[in-house]
Amino acid sequence: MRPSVWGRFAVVLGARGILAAVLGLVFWAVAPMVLGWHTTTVMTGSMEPSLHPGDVVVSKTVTTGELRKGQVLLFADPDHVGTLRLHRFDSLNSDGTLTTKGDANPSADSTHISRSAVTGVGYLRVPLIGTPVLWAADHRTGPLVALGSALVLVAGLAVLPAVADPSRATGASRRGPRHRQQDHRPWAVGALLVTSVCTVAALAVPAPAAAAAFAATATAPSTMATVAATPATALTCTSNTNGSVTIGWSYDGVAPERFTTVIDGVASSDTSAGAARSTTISSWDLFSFRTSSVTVRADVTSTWTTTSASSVRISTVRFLGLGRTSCA
Amino acid sequence: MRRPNRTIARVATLAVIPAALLAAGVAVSTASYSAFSATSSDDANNWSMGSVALSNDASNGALFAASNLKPGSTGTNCIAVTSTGSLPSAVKLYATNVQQTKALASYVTLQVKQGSGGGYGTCNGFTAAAGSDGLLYNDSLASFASTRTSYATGVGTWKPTGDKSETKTYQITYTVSSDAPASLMGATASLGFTWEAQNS
Repeated sequence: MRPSVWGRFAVVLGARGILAAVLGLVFWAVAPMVLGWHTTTVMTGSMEPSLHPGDVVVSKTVTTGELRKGQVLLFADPDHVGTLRLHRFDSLNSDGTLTTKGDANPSADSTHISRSAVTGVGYLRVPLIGTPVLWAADHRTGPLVALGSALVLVAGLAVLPAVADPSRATGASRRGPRHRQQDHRPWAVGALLVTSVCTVAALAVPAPAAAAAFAATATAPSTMATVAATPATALTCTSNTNGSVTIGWSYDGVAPERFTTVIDGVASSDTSAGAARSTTISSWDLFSFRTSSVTVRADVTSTWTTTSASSVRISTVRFLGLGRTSCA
Repeated sequence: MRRPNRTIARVATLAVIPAALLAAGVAVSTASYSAFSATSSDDANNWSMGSVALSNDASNGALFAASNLKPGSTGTNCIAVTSTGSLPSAVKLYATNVQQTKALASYVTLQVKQGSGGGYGTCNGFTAAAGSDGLLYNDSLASFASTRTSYATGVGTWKPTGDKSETKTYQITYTVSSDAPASLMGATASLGFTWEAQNS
């Protein structure tokens, strides 16, 4: 008899201890909400080993001026509308935004946040008690039911008398209902109280769940450049014996579609292939004596053209079908 | 040994409950101290709850390094992106480090297709996925570079489950508009195509 009496004593007191410890943890998670602080549940391992999934973090509301590098910030997740993120303040950017990073993440968060997006700074970490929130989010009813049953069991044990009532032990079953009721009322009230406190806590703690996001990136750089506007340079003019002139030029750009000879600002019908570096022009169909300015235009396409900055001057004398062009 | 009586029980309860509350308080304060006193992250890669990981097969090579473009110029390249994380995630593609001169990007059309087959350097064997999963973007590069700049605004419908390694191939095609003005000669545009996975 005696060992079982001490066994009951130990079990009941142990249950009271467990219940008190759980309620103590819940208290630290819930009570700061009275001050307007935020209580959130850590949902992922991106802040390991500092914060583990299932931990509850109490964040203190701070002014934007109080933010310091290294603090764990609670802020609206810029990448997922309607969720919160709990990451460490990693660095301050030149534009005044903050870069955050999960301790376990290989790289910092890609989206920077403004100071005003921060709703709190992590202040208290209550280990493990948010685990039911994790299970609920994953729709894992098995562990939830098991935990609920275990809590009810512990609460039930805790409200039992630690020592059997000697009067009940001698013949509780034979006593009238009036006595039973009297004996049990304080414990029933206690059980009700414990259950309601647990329920309130369970409803209060899950509040917003901070998804401390994991992220990984892979980047491929790319560059695009259009063809540069390269003019023909070093224009030369050579008079030929047959009355024509040869215009030569240098060109070190990408081979254009063609070169067009421009005479007095007007594109002529004289064009050369993109690889050409000279063209020969003869007197054209004019009854005139004139001096013209010749430039060479590199035509990458019909619209993307570049005219040489330098020019050469040629003189043309033409009369009655006889003509001669020469360098001026 | 005495039998426990009610007095002992009362005394023991009065001792156990404050002790448990104290233990809870100590647990909270030590846990808080270790979690919030660090001033920098320590890059410890001990991920007990799994992770997300993403890589591409370009091994830091450029997706494009196109030069001497002119009206009508076009180019295409493929890149295979692999998710090896153990958590379910969602992958988005967006532009980073955008730089341009002379507003070249306004005259470049960008097309992004998502599918399978092919890889970096060759689109041989690439097959676009059906429907909206296949064509992720088909508009001006300028619009991509100015509006698709973060995970939240990125394009993509890929959601790796985390059960096993998964690979998707992206075919990216650019075309310089045929009516690009001559003022764009000598213009440049550069950007990073960044794929980011975040657990969902």
